[in-house]
Amino acid sequence: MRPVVAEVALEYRETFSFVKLDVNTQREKTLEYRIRGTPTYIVFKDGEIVGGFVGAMPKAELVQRILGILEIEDPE
Amino acid sequence: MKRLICLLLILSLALLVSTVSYAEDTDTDILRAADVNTDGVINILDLTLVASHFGETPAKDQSPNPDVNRDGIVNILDLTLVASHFGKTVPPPIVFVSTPLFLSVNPESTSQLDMNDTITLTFDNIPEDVKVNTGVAIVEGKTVKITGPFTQGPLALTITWTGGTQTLNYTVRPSVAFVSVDPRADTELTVNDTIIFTFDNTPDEVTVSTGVATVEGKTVKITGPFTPGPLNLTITWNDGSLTFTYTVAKPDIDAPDITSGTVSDGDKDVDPKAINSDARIEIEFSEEVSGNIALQTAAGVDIGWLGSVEGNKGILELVKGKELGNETTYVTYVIVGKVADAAGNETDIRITFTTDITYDGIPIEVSDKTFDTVVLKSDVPIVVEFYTDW
Repeated sequence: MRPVVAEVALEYRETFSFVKLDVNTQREKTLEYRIRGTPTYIVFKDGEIVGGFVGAMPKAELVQRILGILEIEDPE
Repeated sequence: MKRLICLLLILSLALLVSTVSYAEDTDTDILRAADVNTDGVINILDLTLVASHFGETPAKDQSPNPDVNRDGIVNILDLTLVASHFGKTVPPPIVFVSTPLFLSVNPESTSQLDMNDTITLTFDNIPEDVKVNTGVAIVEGKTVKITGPFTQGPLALTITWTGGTQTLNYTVRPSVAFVSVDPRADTELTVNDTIIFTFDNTPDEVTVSTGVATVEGKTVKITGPFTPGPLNLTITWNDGSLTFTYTVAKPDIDAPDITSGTVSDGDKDVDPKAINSDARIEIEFSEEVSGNIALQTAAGVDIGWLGSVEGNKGILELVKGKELGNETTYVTYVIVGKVADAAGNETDIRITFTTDITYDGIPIEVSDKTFDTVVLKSDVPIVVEFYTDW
């Protein structure tokens, strides 16, 4: 089974970057951004949070949500 | 009656003259001429013949010829000649027999013979008392046939006959025996196969019932094309003949197909780790082939794997350090080459496949320390997944 996040990260790397942070080991940023559950996705643009959402979901929904926050039409 | 009396008178006169003048004449030509009826003795019968043609002018080649002195007319002179040799016997004619001359021989002297060949000599007349130093001579009219078997090696054949001798030089070939044939009899051939016969010596006068025979030393190559179906091939040479049976298969006009393989043309998401682990890629063909095979990039650059074609397989073997890779995007590889079956039917190989994508390290892991640099200073929008491994 391919990781959804990895696929999205590769396919949309021209549109946005994707990184991950382990909440169990990186406590400082976990607390700073008040992460209550995993997975939690926070979208940054120009150093500012522009949106976020929580929960595992299918690839298409994940893409739709991110592009929606960024107000970008799906280039695929 | 009057004529007869006249003749008798003449006869009497002739007898008288002969007694007096020609008693000692022994000239053979005259004796033969006087023996008009050619019975070997000059007697009354000859006189009668002359007398009966008295006054005539016989032809020169007339037989019997009463013109004894050959002056063109039968007259008293002829009677006189007969009378003068009356009672004499005429010696038989001497027949001059010339010595038979050797004219020709077949095969020609200095040529090669087989052990059982026949040498035929031709003369201008029938030779007598013919003898040869080897073989058996049989006289047939003006020809003499000398039959062997002759001993292998140089042959100096001397033939003698009454009045002559002739020596002829030959080389007697060794007998040639069949040794083997390839492919062996009772097997299947293709239309354009070559059948190779091997002998213990160079065969001569080789003929075959089908195909074209080429003698190369001790071998004879028979080339087709042969007609599909049963084949009875008879090869004949100067010392023998043999027949071999084969079955000629219908011509193969089908190019070899790729029936299976580690990868197929158009394959996507091929796991390079599995291939690298096996250290080989195999392609199977529908029949035995020969040819070449290589692994290239999509751009046509050889990857460096070792390609070989054996039997009905094409094999690409991994060379250490040349493993198939996968990256954050697909990698396309192409297996290229050309193979041909035994009939020469060719197949171009072009199998394009792409590896799957590796997700190792994707997305990038950030930490508390790198977060600000990677995330907050990113020039492009960036999504952070806060995750946990369960």
